[in-house]
Amino acid sequence: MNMLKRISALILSFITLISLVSCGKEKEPEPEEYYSATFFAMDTEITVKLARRTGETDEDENALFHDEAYLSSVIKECANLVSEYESALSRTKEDSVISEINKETDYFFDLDPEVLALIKESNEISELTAGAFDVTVGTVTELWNVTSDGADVPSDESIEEAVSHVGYEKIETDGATLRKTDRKTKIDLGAIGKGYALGKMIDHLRASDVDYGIVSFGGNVGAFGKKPTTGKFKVAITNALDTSKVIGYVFVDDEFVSVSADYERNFVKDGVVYGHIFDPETGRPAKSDVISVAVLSENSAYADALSTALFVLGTDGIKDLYKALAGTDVAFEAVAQLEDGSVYLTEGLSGDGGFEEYKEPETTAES
Amino acid sequence: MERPKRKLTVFDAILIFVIILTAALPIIFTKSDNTKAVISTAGGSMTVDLAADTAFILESNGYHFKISVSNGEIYVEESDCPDGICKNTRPVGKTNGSIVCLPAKLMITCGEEVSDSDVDAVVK
Repeated sequence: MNMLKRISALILSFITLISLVSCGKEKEPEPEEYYSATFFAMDTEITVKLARRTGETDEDENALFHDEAYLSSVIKECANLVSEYESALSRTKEDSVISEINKETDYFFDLDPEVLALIKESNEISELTAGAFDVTVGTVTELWNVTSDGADVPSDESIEEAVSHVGYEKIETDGATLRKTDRKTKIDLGAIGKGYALGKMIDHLRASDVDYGIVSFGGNVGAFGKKPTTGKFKVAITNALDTSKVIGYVFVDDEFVSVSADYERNFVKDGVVYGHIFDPETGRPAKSDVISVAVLSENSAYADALSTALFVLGTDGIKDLYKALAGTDVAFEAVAQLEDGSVYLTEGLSGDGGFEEYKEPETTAES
Repeated sequence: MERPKRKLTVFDAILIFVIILTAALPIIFTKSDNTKAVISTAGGSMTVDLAADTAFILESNGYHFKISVSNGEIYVEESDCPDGICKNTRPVGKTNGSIVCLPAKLMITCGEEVSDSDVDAVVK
């Protein structure tokens, strides 16, 4: 009898223990939604979150079984892919294709056709955006060097000189050949390179045996596949006025979200914030009524490039470009945060399932 | 009636062990090193880096707080609020948790991202 009591006491305490353990774990998503890893490349932090279901999961579609060995090898492939693009597209790496093009010569032969195709595509976007996006701003970004330690405001003369070499029409490409009509023109793919590399990375992931995932790549996010739980991926957009907060959320699948804003890379001189996004026309940090803009597009390079253009152009430009590109394969949607903190949405995001505004959690505190 | 004397048996030992283990569980499961703390006051919120030791004065709802960061933990060192509960709350940082002062509408939180657990990515 005594023995029985003791055994049942033991069993009871074990039940208590188990229920307590499951309580403690409830806070974490269970099972973990993603296998994730972070690496650094192209001057930014890249986080890859992947999910792959293996075995029989038909009975419970929420059950995820991660094949960590496989997923980590896929992420390694992604990192290699990005570092290849980095060594081709970097403006600051001496042996990159871009550094070659930025030499003071007018003809270049036998260049990487992929890089030239990207430059050609960039020039098409420049035409679409009336030059608000322009990869030939190299002389300007080099002059300001916003991210360096001793960044300062250059003289008016030097800015004028730098701007005189800006202009996408100064570059002509043909297969593996490139011609500059202005020898001093320099190319800077900073506003499209990350988006382009992210697009290639997502292509690679789609072709691999991964069910779904989402990648954060500097100011760009790319998602692929369908989440079994919610279908779409929820992407938060940072509040430019208080970067510890978000302004709201967009919901994407097989889409890219790219943000351009000045809160990440800038310098302050005499109380004025000088950002890293330049107006190719003035050679100075762009100032419009938009302080941050997120662009949604199925094309990653376009999302990246358009976010820069829309940041430069402001809301009027967003409206014009939205109309011009609607119905094309590079159509986009945008969430713009304006100077006064208000949010401007393009039509496709203003309805249900579009943009979800962030609401402050209600405070229950009382005096 | 005389109560029978009982000796500790191996079952009792196991039971005691299990109870102690159970009691220690919350400590094990909430332990996590945070690099940031979020302070929300009556006037707004801010993020504090816990990597560097510092101390500063903060005002919220008419009350004043001296908040200290030391060894990766944040705590209220001094305050002129009426109940003083915040001063007696354990530091947070090495463990997740909150320090709350109701009269001042002050809250210092570590480790819990407010309502963002279902977000797949943050773009910035």
